[in-house]
Amino acid sequence: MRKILVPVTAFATLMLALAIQLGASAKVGDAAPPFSLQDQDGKTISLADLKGKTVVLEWFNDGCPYVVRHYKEDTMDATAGKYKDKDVVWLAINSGAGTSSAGNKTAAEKLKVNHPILSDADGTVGQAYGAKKTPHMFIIDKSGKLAYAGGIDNDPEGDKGDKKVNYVDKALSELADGKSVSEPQTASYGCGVHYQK
Amino acid sequence: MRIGLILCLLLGMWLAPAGVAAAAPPANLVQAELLADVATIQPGKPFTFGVKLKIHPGWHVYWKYAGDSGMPTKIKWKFPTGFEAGEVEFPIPKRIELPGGVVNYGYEDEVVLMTRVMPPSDLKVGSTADLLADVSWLVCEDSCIPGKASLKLSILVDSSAPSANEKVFQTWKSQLPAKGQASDLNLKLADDGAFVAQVNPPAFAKELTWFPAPPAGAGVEDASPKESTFTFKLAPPAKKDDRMGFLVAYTDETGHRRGVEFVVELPSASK
Repeated sequence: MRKILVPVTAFATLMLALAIQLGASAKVGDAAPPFSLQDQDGKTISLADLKGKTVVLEWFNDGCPYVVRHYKEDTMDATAGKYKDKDVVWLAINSGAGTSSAGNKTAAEKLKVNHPILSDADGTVGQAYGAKKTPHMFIIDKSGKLAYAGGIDNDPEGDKGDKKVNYVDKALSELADGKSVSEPQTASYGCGVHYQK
Repeated sequence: MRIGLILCLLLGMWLAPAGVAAAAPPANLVQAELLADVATIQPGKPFTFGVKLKIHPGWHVYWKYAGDSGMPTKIKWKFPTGFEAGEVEFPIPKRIELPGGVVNYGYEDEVVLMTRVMPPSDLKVGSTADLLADVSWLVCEDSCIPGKASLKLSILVDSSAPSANEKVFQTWKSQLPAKGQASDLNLKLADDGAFVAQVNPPAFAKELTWFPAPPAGAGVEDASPKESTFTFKLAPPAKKDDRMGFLVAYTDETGHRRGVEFVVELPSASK
């Protein structure tokens, strides 16, 4: 088994690296790039194991004021909570240089993060998705296609009140109803992802 | 096998970075100050009012469109009744490239954001006018820290308006982009949904740099500047009648940075 696994993983990584070299990051409608990363408890989470589920990816950096504000306001939990019986998996990804399971565990405790935070220290997965800032949100539908890329909402300053639109909530609701996402691409806001030099 | 595992764990603990032990950021990352280009204001005579931001070395604040990350610097002017102020005028920014292809548009060290002000002609000579500005910014280096300042400049109303702060305003006014003719920027929509903007710069113009200013609420994606051509996409996609700005900066024959800003209508797929 091991003999086959290594070359297959190596091939997938090579193809991913090639895609990144060509400057291509996944577009809405494309097959979502695969990943296999460790969470803050050292557990490996692979996209391949989540086939048939709707997956939300949240680019994360506990030092970013926009991320901190959303955790203070419970945005992620409140949104994810609405779909907990709808086969939705919510994952945070940290593509910051030097990120680690230990660092993400501290961050999870500090911000009270109730979902996995995956370490993407070399930034390969971030680059594959085209993640530029935190929070930058992506939704993968049940068929494994990228269905949404953009902001968590339209409210960078957190002052829109009832004019705020939670794009992720809206997209998840549409997907849960078997509809396509009406706003698959929106503007996002946040601090830059600190890719390694 | 078990010894190997223990050794690996010990090695991992030793090699693991101790979280990024960042030193607390310095105080006063951004110092904001109000300036006028006149020492006293004259009723009915326009003057320039500015917010000077002094930025701690290594950190940057943002242009009216921040780029891949960040937040534009915002100013809310609060002037007495009868005063008319224009929009905030942003000098030519810097293209700041961060690792991983993240591009920001902003300012390092110092910038003066300006507006043209027209005082009413019935202002009383000898009175004092209180000119206020609420400034908010995001200043970033490795981390990002939001900041704001509420500033006031009290200025005497007189029968003349002698110039003041000449050097500062001369420098920063020269960095305001000139208004370009929309017909001098060619904008096409390619089959893959990407926009291609093209200009025809004079031969002496070197180091062309593109600064896109997308419609409100939209972000620029897949930006690819190549000399006098700029390819990009918009998220969300452009709507009918959307307009967009492009600041094209260049170094002129005397070595000075200059810029031209074009505002054009975005072509749509239905056309």
